[in-house]
Amino acid sequence: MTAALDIRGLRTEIRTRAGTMQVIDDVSLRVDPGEAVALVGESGCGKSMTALSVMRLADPRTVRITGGQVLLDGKDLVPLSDDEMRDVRGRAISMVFQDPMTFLNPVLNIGTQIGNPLRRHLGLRGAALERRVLELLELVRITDPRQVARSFPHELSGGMRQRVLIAIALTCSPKLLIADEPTTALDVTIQAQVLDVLKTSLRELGTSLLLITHNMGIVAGMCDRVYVMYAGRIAEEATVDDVFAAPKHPYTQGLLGSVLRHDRPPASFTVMGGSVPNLIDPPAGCRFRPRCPHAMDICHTDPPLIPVGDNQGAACWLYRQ
Amino acid sequence: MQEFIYQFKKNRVAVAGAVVIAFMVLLAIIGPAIAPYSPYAFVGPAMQPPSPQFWMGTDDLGRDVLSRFIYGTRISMIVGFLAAATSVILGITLGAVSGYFGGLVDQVLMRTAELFQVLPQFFLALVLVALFGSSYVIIILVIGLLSWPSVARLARSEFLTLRERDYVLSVKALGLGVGRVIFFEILPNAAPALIVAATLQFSLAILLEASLSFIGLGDASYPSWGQMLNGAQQVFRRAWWVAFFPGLGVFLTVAAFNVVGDGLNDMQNPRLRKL
Repeated sequence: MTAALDIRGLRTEIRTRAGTMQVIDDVSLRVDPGEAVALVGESGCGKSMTALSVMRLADPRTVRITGGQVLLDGKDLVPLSDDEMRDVRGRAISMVFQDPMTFLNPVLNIGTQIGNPLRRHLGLRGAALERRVLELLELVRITDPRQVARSFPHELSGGMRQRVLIAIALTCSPKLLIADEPTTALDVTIQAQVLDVLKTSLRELGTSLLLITHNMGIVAGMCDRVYVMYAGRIAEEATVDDVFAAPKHPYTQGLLGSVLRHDRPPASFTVMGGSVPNLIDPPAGCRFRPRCPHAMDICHTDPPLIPVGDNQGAACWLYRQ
Repeated sequence: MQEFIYQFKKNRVAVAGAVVIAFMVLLAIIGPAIAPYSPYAFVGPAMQPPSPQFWMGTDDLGRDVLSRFIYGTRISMIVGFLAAATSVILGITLGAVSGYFGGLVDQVLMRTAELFQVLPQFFLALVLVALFGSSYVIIILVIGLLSWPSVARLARSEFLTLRERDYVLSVKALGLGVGRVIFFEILPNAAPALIVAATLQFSLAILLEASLSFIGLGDASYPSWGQMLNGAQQVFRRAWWVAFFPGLGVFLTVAAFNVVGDGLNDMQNPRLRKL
């Protein structure tokens, strides 16, 4: 079976005045058809940069993909020309962003904005276009689609706007949807509604999901598998059940330890010291070493992703045979 | 739109300006139907002062000044509109491209714009009209080509900030083409500032056409306000009305466009907005 998205050894760097940052360093991950996969980690660990590299949307003046492959349904996106890439975006992969207010154009009505990818990729016009726009609004469970299609973004609530963004992203029934913290800007009850809408519409269209988040609760509710990212590298890969039951990498353990959970006494809540290292001059070997409670001498060399159990792997020397 | 009208109405001066513009536009459209005489015909004694028969008097050849004024409105408005349209379309296109792409394209376009800006506009217009002849087409093109840089610089500065907005990233993520992103997604967001610039371009164009005509470089085949002023130079001390009315037309129209432009500009500044 061909994976919906198969990233192999991706490397991306950002050139700044202070030096070159290897923001994505040999990242490999896989999303199977119909699967929902989470990419988690602290702010600044390279999650969003991974998404932008897949979409090839990062600013070409400073950001460069220096190696690896991004296979979408078996086809490598890295060597595509800008024109070819524009045909892929919005059609085979699309993206839902964090803040539903700023990612909608304030001066165009909702119908026009949903119509954008329909006109661009499917060549729909006139009545057919209008019909499809209303269908999409219904797909994301907007009750009065006609009214909403005529509205402007500022006339809608945050939850509605985020559902509109989801509708826009799903217009062409893409193979893969990348959702970059889709609910961070919403309050908790609306979060649940939006996630529910997202989940059912993805199932309806058979679209795979790469969910970028730092909210472990959402991961538990939405996803099948998890990749934990730290300082531009994959620290751990596991199924959702395994990652919560038995996190292997010390970073994953620390991340989960700092989440408040109803099934644990608040006393067990721990705070991880330190912060993500400066990627212009990262620590040699394992990048988590300076913050790791189990740091050993061998950690000065790069750890490979070592399989632990059937579906789990951790880039940590604790698990070497 | 209702909100727009409500806000605009609070600025009395701008409303007065809008009324003047509306009147001039109306006059330009229905003018020939209400003009009492032909603008070219000798209809009475020369240099009659304003009277019930000739409301604005007659000029040195015995033509009706009112009829000529009405036809002149038409010419001045058309020339103003087409010249402003030329400069606004040129300015927006070049400014948008410059601001959106940046880099070398931006450097080349902006240096060109600066070159046009440092040349004395009026004298360049004189030279061009003298070289290529003084038909209205040439006059419109010359005015348009000379006044695009200010619009282009404004459009560029708007695009420099707007291109970094999140919604631009989100439409790029949908695979929309560059032209679509520039003209359908970003441009509407830059419209408020550009509309103000366009009204000012309009008044500048009318003024420039009147100036060219006044010194005798206008298109003599149709009367414009500037043409009438040119003709009035000889008789000004004996027949003030020949110069006064076309001068008033230029003054009122240019002033009206300026106050409307200022009014629109103030509306966009929330700190100057009254409740």
